[in-house]
Amino acid sequence: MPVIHPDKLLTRRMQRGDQSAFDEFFKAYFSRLYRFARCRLDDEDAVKDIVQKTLVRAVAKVHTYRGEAALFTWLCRLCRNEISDHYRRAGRRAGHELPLDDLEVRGVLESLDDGGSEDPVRSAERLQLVLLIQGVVDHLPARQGNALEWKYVQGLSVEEIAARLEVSHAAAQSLLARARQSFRDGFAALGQAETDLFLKR
Amino acid sequence: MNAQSDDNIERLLKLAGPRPEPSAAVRDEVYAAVRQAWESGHRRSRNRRTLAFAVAATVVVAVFIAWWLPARSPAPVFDGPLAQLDRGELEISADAGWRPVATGDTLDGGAVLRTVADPAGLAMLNGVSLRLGRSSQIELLTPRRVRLHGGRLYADTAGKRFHAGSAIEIETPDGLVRDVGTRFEVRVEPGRTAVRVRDGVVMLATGSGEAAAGRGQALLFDNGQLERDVVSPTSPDWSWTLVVAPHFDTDGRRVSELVDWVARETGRELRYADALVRNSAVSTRIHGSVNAASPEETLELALQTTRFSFDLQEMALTIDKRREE
Repeated sequence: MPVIHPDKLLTRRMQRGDQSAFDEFFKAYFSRLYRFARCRLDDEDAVKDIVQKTLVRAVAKVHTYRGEAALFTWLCRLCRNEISDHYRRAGRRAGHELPLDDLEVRGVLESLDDGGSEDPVRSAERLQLVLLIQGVVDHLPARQGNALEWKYVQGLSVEEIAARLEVSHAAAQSLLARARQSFRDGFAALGQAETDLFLKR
Repeated sequence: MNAQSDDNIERLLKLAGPRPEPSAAVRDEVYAAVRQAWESGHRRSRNRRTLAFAVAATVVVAVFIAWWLPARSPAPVFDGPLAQLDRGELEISADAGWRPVATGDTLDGGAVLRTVADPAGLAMLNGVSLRLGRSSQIELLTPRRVRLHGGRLYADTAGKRFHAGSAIEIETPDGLVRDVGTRFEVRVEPGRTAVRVRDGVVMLATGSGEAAAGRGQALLFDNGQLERDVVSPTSPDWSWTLVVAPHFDTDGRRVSELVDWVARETGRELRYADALVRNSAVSTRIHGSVNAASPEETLELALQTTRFSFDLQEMALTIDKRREE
């Protein structure tokens, strides 16, 4: 019996008019998409408008989602198009997707060990790194992203994470291991060689 | 699995901290708009399928029943607390006439309330701020619906908790006003209902049909005729709403919350110089309370203790980092 991907299943339920599916969709993707757009725009109102346009377009075209990529990836693609249109209308060129280059990544990572620099340039780079890290976590499957945040930001134990996810201790450990690997892969892909070296050293 | 590598991941994630959430106001506004688009799209698609089976008339009736009748039909009165008096002076209808309401008093469904010489601010328990102009009268019906008998009512849904649908619906003798995440004013006079929208979108359903108004637009339903007008979101006409606006304590609040509040209460669009400034405003907290006469003055005093500067234009509030002299 063919297994239907959960994202595809969700969009099918939305097509049938299932209101709980719509709420599930909005809850799962709105904040992540908002952060995705926010990193790429410098106007809060524009962020809201673009995310709204993206989601309106997504629900109108939900029947065209074929499940070949993750639903969030599909939404990000729609959002990128809206952002490009926004810059085109404003007569400006789009900014960099994630503006850290390799040297900056290396510099910021080194600064993690210096006890917190007051240098405004370094502070700005740190902020860019924060956005990059949050972007990587947002691109992980939701359960993996949440598990990483619960473990390393909120300091939850594996037992507590297992309880939140309603899985066994072993399953939570396995999920965390996969999440760490996914994060490592995603971050290294974005930060390229320098980041990769950092994570492996 | 490399333990050193895991340690680095932990350091990176701790550096990033929790992922920031968009404000409840933005979330609600986008939710309402997207849900409306989804529902209307689904309705169209359902109608197309139904038409294929040649029962179009049935669909029209169903849509009418599903959408129009609930909007027009009176809502059952909620049996329980709905709001509290936050600021100003208010009277409640009682057996022997009218008696004053004390600040902080809880008001139940079915309560009929009026202002006399001064406006009053009500905090709905779902987070919506209602401000009643002087010589106005309302009736609390449900957590999401009030009836405006006369006078004017300003609603700010920005601070409400996230849930589906409109945050507030206002019944008037001429129809029903529904918000889609916004700030707006409804004014009722004999034979007419006027709606002025400061931000977001508002729907007005009357016996003649339904109309929408966005930021800076006004709808006037006068003796069965609908007229449109414009209204500046920063016009002095809104200033009465500040008299009974909820108090904003700056101590411990994020700079982003302060500037969002100032923009909201003054009807201006909030802009940041760039993404770095915006993110810095989200992560910077203000220490100390400011007692000022207006949101603009609060902004000026509170930002003096920070690294932020602001530019107050007629229609926009722009936040930037302070440039070193």
